[in-house]
Amino acid sequence: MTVPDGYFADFEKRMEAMLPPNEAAEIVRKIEAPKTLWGKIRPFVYMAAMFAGVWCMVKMFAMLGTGGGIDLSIDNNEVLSNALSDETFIYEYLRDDVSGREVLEEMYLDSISVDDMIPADSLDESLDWMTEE
Amino acid sequence: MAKELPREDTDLIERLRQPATCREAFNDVMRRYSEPLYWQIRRMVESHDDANDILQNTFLKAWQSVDGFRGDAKLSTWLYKIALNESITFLAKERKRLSISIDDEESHLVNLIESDEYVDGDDLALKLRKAVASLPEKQRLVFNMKYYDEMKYEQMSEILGTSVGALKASYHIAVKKIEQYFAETD
Repeated sequence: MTVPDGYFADFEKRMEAMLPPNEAAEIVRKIEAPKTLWGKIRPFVYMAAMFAGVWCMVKMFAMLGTGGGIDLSIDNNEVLSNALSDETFIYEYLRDDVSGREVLEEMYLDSISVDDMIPADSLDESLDWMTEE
Repeated sequence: MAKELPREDTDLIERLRQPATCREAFNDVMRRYSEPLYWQIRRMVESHDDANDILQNTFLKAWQSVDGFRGDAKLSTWLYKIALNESITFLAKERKRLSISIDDEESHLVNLIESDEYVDGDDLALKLRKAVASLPEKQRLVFNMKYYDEMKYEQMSEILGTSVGALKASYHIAVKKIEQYFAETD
């Protein structure tokens, strides 16, 4: 029995070309491969983005919990303070929004007499606005 | 108890285990074992082209399972096992493909021997090939390993998974059959 000339000499080269890469060696090669700049800073960028996200969430929940950091009390509201300190505002507000008839009906149900509250001579003038309807 | 491995095997196995040196070590394995494995396969299948295909498959399988090779046995034992499994699988496929029984395999192998273009013109060697081809598969394997490869029965036992006593008996019967073949054809 014989083989073609140079068979064993060429066999190793032919086999080498046929062998697929070894998985374990490939993994080691990838681990040992030098990292690019982006590869080096990527974990830190991701970490910074994560902390920024957490900070934004905390800030948002804090704003929702305290009314957005805005003081909504009446004392610090310039418009409301001015309105409440102005006597004519309440008078005009009531006159605009409360029916005079409703007030009289409420007083009647509570057994309050208008005559007891207002002197007779000023009654007609005072109640003009309530009976305008 | 684990058997002590030859020094060159220990070094080679160590390099095979390291991912960085694995490929280079496997090239050394191919360089060292391709020829003995080829002849073992060739004596089983007789055709050079088939032996070449089986040898390539043997090394591909060895490469794929090199991570799982624990180094308990000699490298040669491990490679012979793969090569013989590949050879026996090939012969079984051929029998199926050609629709021949295991008993008719002898004539098929003799035909292959007679049509082989890679012969050295030695009539006695050719006659011996035909005599070996007439043996049953297991006896052919045992005879090839003992007569041509001069392998020890202990290693044959590891490769074939058969007891030493049974191997000795198989070899004895194989020799007797070959003697008978020579006597009949003279």
